Amino acid sequence: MLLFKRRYHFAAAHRLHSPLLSEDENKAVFLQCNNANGHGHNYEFELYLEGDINPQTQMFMDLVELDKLVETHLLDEVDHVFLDNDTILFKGVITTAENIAFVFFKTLDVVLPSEVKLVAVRVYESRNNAAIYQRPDVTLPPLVYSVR
Amino acid sequence: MPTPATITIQRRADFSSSHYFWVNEWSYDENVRAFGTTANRFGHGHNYELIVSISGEVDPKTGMVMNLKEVKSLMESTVIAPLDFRCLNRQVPFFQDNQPTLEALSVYIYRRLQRALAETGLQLAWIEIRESRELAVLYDGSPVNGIHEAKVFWDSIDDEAGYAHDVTGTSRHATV
Repeated sequence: MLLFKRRYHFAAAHRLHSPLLSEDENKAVFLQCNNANGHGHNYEFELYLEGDINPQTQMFMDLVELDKLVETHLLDEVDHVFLDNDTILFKGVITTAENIAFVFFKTLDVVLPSEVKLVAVRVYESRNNAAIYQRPDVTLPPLVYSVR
Repeated sequence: MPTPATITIQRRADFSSSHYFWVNEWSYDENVRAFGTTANRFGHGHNYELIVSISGEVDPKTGMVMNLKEVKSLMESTVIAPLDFRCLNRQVPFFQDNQPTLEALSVYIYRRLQRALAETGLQLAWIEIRESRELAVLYDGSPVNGIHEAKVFWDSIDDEAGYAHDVTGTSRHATV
């Protein structure tokens, strides 16, 4: 497998709050992340992509085209917004790194050209924590090694 | 006795090279349209970062999968030396047949490391090559279509020789 890895970043505010839990339970589970005023992160995320290599350019996809898709469908939605309220992407979704990775994967997967396969999305909330969502039918390299 | 566990060790290295993208069969305009500023045939450079993962059993005598000193010298002699401070297009024969993309570079590096490791009985697992903070390729050595591998083991060409410089001029986009 030859995996192509592309990294993007955005800044956003969010709050971890579950409608299924009481106010007190929310505070107990999410601690400072439950602060009703929200807080922010410099998020980074990585796309892991697979595809056939064009024999002439020996690239698997036009990077400019990829960047445009990511900008339109993800970055324009999430950069400098309050994730919980300001974008349709996270309606009814708790904005944990896990869910962001999942939503980004599902959103991009349907807009990428058919010859390119999105294999995994890793979302970094900070230098210290990240979440990876990967296509269930592929075996990835030990991504834990390739920290940022 | 328990089955020996397979452990993966990793080592990273840097190399600095220049490259540019140019498809000979295309016109100047077509190349610039496809590759933008990277079609400038004077080239541009990157500080590449290479991360190599090697899997094997731990030697009970040394407690090591492989001596990291050996890993270092093996990486140095098989891939860093031929690439570091060179122009990939002009001095690495593999890139006469291939565009110097990360995709092609990963095949070049993997095959050379794998051959050097073959004698040790160890398995080259994944390699990762980063061109910048934003861009990288991970590769496990599986067959890849679209890359011409005939010259993968050819030696690089000395600075003085290089291929004939077919580019003249001083503009941002060189002219033939």
